[in-house]
Amino acid sequence: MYFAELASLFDELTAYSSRLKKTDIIADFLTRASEDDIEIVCTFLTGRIFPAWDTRDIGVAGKTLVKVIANISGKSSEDVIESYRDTGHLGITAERLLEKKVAMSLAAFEEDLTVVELYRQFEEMAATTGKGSAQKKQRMLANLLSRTEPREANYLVSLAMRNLLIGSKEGVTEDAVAQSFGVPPDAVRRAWMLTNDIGLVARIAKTEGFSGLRALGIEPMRPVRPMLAQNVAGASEALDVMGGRAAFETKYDGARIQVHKVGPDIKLFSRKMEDLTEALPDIRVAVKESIHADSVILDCEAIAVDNRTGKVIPFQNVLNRIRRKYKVRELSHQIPMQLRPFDILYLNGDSLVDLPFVERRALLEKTVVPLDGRCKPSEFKILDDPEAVAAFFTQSIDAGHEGLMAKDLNADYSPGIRGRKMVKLKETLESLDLVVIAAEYGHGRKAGWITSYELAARDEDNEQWAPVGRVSSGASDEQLKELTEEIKPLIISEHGRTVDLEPQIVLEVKFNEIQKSPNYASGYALRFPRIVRIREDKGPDDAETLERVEALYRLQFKLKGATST
Amino acid sequence: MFKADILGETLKDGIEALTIIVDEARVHLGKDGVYARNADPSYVAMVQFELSAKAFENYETDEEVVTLDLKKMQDILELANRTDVIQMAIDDNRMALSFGDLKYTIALLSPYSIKKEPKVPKVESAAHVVITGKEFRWAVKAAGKVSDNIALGCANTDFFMEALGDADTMRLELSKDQLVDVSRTDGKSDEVRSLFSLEFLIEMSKAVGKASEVSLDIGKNIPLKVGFDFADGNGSVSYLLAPRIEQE
Repeated sequence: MYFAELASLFDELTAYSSRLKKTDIIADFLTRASEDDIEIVCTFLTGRIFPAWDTRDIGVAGKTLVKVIANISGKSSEDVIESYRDTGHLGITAERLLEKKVAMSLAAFEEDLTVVELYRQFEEMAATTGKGSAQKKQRMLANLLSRTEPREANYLVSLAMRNLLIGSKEGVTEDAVAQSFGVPPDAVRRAWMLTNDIGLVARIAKTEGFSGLRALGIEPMRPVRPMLAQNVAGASEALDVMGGRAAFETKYDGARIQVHKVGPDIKLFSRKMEDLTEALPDIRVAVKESIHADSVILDCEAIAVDNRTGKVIPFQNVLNRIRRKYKVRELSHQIPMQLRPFDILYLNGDSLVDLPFVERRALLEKTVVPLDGRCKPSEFKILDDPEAVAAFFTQSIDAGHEGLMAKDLNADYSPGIRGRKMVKLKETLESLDLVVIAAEYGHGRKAGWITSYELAARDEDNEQWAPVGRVSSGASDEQLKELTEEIKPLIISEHGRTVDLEPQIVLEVKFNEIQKSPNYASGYALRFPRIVRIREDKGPDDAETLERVEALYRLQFKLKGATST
Repeated sequence: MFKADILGETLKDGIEALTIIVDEARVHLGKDGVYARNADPSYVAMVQFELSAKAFENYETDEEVVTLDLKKMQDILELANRTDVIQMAIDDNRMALSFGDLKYTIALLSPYSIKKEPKVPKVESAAHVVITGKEFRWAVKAAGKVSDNIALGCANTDFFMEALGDADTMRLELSKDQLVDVSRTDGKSDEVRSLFSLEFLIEMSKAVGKASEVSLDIGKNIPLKVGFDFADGNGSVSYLLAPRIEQE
């Protein structure tokens, strides 16, 4: 299949906003896609280049694309940035500017680009590392873009930047796969949740149908989406939701880690499914000593403990550990980490996700042999009395943890689902995880640091980032320095002290209230926002939605007894 | 295994023709001769190279593909005379080059340094022109005085090379009887032209200049194909150069 055909599909999807219509269009398209194309097409449809579990990254920065577009179009980088400021999207900028190509490579005279070829090129980019790799990737992109028509260039750039705006996120693609190959949508959803690979699911749905989908499951060494929890207000609500009796566990102020083990091989994945194996040698050792199973997948929380006091160190320090690619050994002495497995998804060749939670918990306790503090199953009680829950909650907070998790005793493990079979009780006030879309350099003492951040929520209807305010307080100097280092590679353009960014960094912010505001495109603004922490463990896809900001806005009126108008 | 004896002149000219495009090349050592197709990293220019076994004094091969460090070879061969017979041998990832009393052994490059050969884009030209190598080199040099780019074109069967600088211009026009050969492969008579960066053309013209005749395949905004023979017709080189698009 030619990439141009896929670009036409993307065009068509952009033209309709109805979910049903989009589903129909994709379903029809998929019936025409070959077995080879279908995996790639479905993954591309969800805006990804590689399956969600696949940690590969093509490693192309916005700045590189600016240079490539400038070269081919014969414009200056400033012209490209000017256009980007206008369009707000590098793909659209590419489409506009590549209407006229000046410099051509021989690639422009090759046969039209196919979907498979594009995928292979992306794979090659992901495999290109080390000295000279940035230049090599730049040339590869230039060759690809010189072979494409302007609208194809738009989608190619959008894919490279992980910013495809066609409104076919997983849900729509799932439904389309089901419709196209006559399999139940639930079966597609389940297979997708378990494999984390919509492309694979689509291919199996096409070639093996329903029975093939049923046979798909989780596999060690392939990260599973973590099951997520909703917030509840307190012990009574938690018990209500769970039907009067539930499992309660300490909610650790740590980082979610998924442990995969096959024989002697161990891999550790973050909540974002990044491979953290190398960064956490102490956890690796603890797993090796504590877990006696041929193959296993564990859902865990990793916490940092102060070596002298034995007390839990706040979450931000845990993330500092995780983020460090260097000085791993040194830091593992300074900030030792401990593991608290709380769920087991796979054991010795069998998937456990369909077992009731209590049965999984029993298997977890058999599998994880407690090692002093370094690795032991999470603290766990089955309770039905709100007062007992409240006491457990206080105990958890006093020990420096965040609160409690409550779990439905009979619930299966639903990867990627934020449901009410698992809820969290936290002491902290409402906070929001928002994406940084622009930022500003500080002055005076903080000159050279990036100190002010424009925050945005995901506007799911329009697939845009909806700005909700600017935050510049709450962060320590140390955090500001870190943020500056992290932001620099994401800068697409600079004007004066302001920088436009690839939306990648997620900040957790607290605020006094949400106001209506004409100053921000979202229509809302946070009042007195301050940074709680950098959510290294979250990516832009995990950021809050505008819908939730709106819901919170309405909720605060309800709480105050007023009405929103 | 590869063993061959070759005249210094032939090897020097052959390597020069390749180094205009690449510093390192994947080279096939086939039964009938040596063959290579390589593109520069930005894929703006490509060279296709053939040297028949007949061009060698002696030629034995097990047929293999090797990756050669051409710049290093060129450097070493500067010490050889054009009339020397150069003995080449490739074994166990090393190449021996012997001439006079000197014997060099140089390492071959990893086969992974160039993973694959470039595809040859399909280009349908509008005109086929043959001029002398000397004339081509001279015109390219002349264009460099006024511009960074040169246009090559044909109006009916009149061939022209034209450089437009900011203020200055250069134009060379050769009609049918001034050319070695010319034909319109598209069967038309309108003007066709393409613009090229002089960067590669100036380099190419150094190799081309030695050839008695050079063929040029040209069209409208398409790559230029420059072909010539060397080693008494036992070797052939063809360059393909991507055009720049003229701003209207």
